[in-house]
Amino acid sequence: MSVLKTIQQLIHSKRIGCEELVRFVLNDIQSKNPSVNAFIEPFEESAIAIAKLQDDVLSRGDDSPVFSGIPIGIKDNMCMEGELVTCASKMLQGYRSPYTATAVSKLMAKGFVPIGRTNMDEFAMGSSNEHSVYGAVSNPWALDAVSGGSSGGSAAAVSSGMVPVSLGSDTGGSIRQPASFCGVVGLKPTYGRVSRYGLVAFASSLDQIGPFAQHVEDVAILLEAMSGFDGHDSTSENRPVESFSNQLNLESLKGQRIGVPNQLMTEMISSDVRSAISNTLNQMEAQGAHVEFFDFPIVDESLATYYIIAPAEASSNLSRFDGVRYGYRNQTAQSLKDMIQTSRQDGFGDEVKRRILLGTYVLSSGYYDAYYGKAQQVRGVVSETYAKLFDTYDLICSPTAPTTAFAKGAHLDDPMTMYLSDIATIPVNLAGLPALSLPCGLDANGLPIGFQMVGSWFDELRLLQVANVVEKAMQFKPMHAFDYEGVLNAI
Amino acid sequence: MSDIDIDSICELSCLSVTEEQKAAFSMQIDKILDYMSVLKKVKPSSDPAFEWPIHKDMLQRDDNPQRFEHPLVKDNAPDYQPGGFSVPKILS
Repeated sequence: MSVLKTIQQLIHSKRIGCEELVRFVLNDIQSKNPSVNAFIEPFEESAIAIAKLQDDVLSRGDDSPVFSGIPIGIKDNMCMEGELVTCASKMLQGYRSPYTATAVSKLMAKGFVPIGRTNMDEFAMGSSNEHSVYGAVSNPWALDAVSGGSSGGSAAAVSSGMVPVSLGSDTGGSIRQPASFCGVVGLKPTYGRVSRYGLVAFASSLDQIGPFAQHVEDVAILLEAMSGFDGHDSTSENRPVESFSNQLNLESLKGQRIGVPNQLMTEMISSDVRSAISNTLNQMEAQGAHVEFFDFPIVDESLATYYIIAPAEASSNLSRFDGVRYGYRNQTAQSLKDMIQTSRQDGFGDEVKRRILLGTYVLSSGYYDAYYGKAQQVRGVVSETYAKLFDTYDLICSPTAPTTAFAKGAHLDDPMTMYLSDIATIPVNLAGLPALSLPCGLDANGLPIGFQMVGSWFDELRLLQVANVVEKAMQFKPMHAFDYEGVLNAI
Repeated sequence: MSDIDIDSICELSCLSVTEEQKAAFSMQIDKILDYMSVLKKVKPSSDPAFEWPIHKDMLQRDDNPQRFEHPLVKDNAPDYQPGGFSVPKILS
């Protein structure tokens, strides 16, 4: 089911050239993007230049990277030397990165070609991709619905078939929730598995880079390619990189112990979503898994904890945007203080300002212990709770989101309701666990539903193996498969 | 009526926001802080606060910063002058 392996064979057998593929994808982006708004900007010049070099290497018969010529979308918060990176914010308009993020450079070393930067919620703060200076991303399944966020552009780019794979970042569900809304596979790796060097920081203790694809096998290939120790990231974990994609073929789920939190299958979850999750759990049982429900009484507490810790870290991380060294500057200010305050007022959108204010408040004198100190303690409880659960279960499964994609504008004036759409994904980030969202069905309106699977720390192999079995059992049909046959017809 | 001193928080955040925004943010932040009262029922006295292990042998640490030279570092600045970044006067 791997799209990447199919394209790889076409390229290495010289049925498609790297440049032909890259030009095909650039044309496809040009025709599809106006309705979806998944891409902010294609890297036309650099992508074609890289592809030409790869074609030269292939034509000489020299050793060439295994995934030469395969285009990948890059979320607009990851650095690529010489290219613009703006985090979908006016604050960073015109900023060109002086270096390349480790995750991106590792993928480039395997031959992947960054094809453009994808749209996102400003500074990765949001769950609908409506908080972008470049405008909202539309859901390819229903253009009046949101794509989810914050990596909505990366999810929609894969869902609409513009690219076979893309990269996103996940701080509280920003890969898994848009993957769920757009009907694609999205993986958040264990914290420390993939380097954060070159990822613009939102909440450093929660942020993690991860892949989107239409199939589990392709997500496994990307994870393998971008994992590994990086001395530039002080939280990077020094452990060998496993060959995930070569070990996916489990014959059944016999012996797999699956836990399902009762609190994530209540009426808070829409009936269509609950029904699809139950159906998927039945399929897992039919494949030999043992499924059991358990009480997980820290769901609301996790959400509250997250909305203290993440804004607190954001208020600190975003203090560097002051109009002095880079980014937007208000040119009319008469003093340094006025310049900093007005640059930040003009440069940041409302959601970013709201979180900076909230973060500053919970860190301020007199409130620190009651909010931030308490939240750090509760985060410890969340982590301990998961550690105990993984003594009993191999994987924890639930809906990825309480609903399917909602209408654009539905929650824009009510941040708390918007935050609740991350209730199933947030506890995972607090504990730093790996988790994956797999499409498992459609609701009554024909919108995709995501099935979240959470593994123990650094147990991505099991997560991917089980997801691969479930994917085959569910036979979910993508909205728009990546059209590699179209490439063959075009040349 | 909000309990938050929004002017003070804006000052600490180096944000100058409009009166209309102040009213909206105060109300929204109040609602978010109300939700956070659920944390009161968690009694984590025996659990340690959460910390990530930080590797001590990293190349880039605050106490041993690596010098980074690239033309874009100064090209990205709104007003770079040889020797530093130019800003408006500090004292009026």
